[in-house]
Amino acid sequence: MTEIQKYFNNSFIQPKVKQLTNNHPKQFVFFANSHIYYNNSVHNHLNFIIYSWLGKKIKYIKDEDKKNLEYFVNSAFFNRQPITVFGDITDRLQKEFWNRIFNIDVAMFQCTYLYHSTIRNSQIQEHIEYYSKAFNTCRENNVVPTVMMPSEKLVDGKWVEKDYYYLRNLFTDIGNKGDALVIPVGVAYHNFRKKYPDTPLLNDWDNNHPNQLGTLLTSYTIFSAYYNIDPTGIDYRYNWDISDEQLNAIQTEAYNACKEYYLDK
Amino acid sequence: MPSTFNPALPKGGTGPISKDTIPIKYTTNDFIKPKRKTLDDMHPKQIAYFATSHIYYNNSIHNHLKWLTYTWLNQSEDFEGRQWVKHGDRKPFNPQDESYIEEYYGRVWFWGNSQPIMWHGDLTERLSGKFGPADWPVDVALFQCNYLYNKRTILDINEHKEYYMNAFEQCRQNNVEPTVFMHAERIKRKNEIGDHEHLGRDYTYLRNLWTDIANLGDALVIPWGVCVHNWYEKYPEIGILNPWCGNHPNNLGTILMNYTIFYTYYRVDPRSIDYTYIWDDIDKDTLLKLQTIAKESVDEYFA
Repeated sequence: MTEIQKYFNNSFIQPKVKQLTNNHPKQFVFFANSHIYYNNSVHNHLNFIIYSWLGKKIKYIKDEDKKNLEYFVNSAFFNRQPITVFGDITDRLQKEFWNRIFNIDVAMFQCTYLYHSTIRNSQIQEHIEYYSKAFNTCRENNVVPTVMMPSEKLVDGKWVEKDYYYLRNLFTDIGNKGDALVIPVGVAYHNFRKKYPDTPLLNDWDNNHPNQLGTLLTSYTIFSAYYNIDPTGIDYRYNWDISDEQLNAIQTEAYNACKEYYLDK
Repeated sequence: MPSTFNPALPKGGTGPISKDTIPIKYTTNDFIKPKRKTLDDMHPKQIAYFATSHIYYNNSIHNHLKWLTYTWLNQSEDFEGRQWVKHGDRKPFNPQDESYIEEYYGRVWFWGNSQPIMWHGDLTERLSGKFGPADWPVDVALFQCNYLYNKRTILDINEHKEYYMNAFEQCRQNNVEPTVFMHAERIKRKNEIGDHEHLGRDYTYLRNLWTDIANLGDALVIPWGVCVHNWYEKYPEIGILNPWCGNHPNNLGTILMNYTIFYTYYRVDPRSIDYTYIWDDIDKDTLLKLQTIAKESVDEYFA
């Protein structure tokens, strides 16, 4: 069995890392692409969710007070490139961000390069090496590495079911080989669309990038994976027209995906 | 039950502006004139963006500029490039089809949370290296950073000028034309109270500041700030910036920004191009308003 074939097996590889070593991270950096920055960016939404969860009554933030903001997510974005384009990330993990004095706790890597029908085994091995190198660079800088599992695609109106197994096993393997926490966004999308087949999570014009509900599902899944908190009841839906029922469904599936994926955490 | 969360806070607000005196040369209404008025290559195909949320909000200007360019080219009878047909209709762009990206391509390097330009570090690899499936070299780089909107001391400005000069020089060393994005004044936020007298003065500061930065580094300015100013002078009732932050573009603002960059680079009258993305609520009259303001503002700035 080749390396690729083993990922299509519906017997799932189990994640080694099931939670962050720091279970209350405050400073994050995302290395990601358009799947994260569409719809005004998941890094913003994670910030907002955290503050909503904490019940902070945030008034206008004065410049001098920004240094005391505890929770902060920053992002570096690129388009459709493999993770390799970021090169040496030491500088970006170490340096003080604008107005920030705290160290980064967690880095998240998201990349869709390995999701192509033409992907070859050698490319997978090459990218596993890149990921492992990035994860090690994180650890050298006291930053906990995490990696996001993408969701399967919708092609000609049908979900590519076998890709769910491929992506879940592939990214679990990447996480396991580099001792990184995997964020099971792919599991959340898969389960959500099984349960609510009439509620789309992707833009209808490309069937690829998340729509507003999809962006919220991604954000709440990251939140649940990092904090191990059930997000149901957090009243955050940005300024979008999303009903209470939809919000509850999103939050429930985000949390359940983490419970399912991490199993005996 | 509506959300009680205010999306403007903490992200989205620009924060208080430094009280230090703005250099006097940036306070004059007799605006500094731009030295460079066009690109050397007025038909760029590969563009690298070093930018922030002002560019990536609303599904990103690098996508919109690419699709606008294809819409324009498809309207020309002698265009032999790629065309798409869906359900029997000829479409000006197809976001699903990425095979055209070897021709026109936007390479993006975004930083979240408004980092100053220095955060991009050494640009050489990003200007000269191969970038995914795009084999062509980068023609133009666009630098957009709103750090100097809040930080207005002479120390901040001089420090950042050095970063810009360094970035422009790296562009030229890699045969890339540098361009810089003029930030716009923000509008009063929804339900915001307090003193807003400074908002009227921002336009003068921002226009002079970015013209000065570009002149020092022989870069082309994208006069977004002039467009926003002229839009609100002419159409104060039609918002182009998000009301909750008064700062980032809404959908209309993103379309205006797109046409502004397009006309600045290509100098092709945009008023007959039918590109509004998938935002069908932008009617033809509004589109014409956006295209006209973009063209007239760019013409005014470079006159």
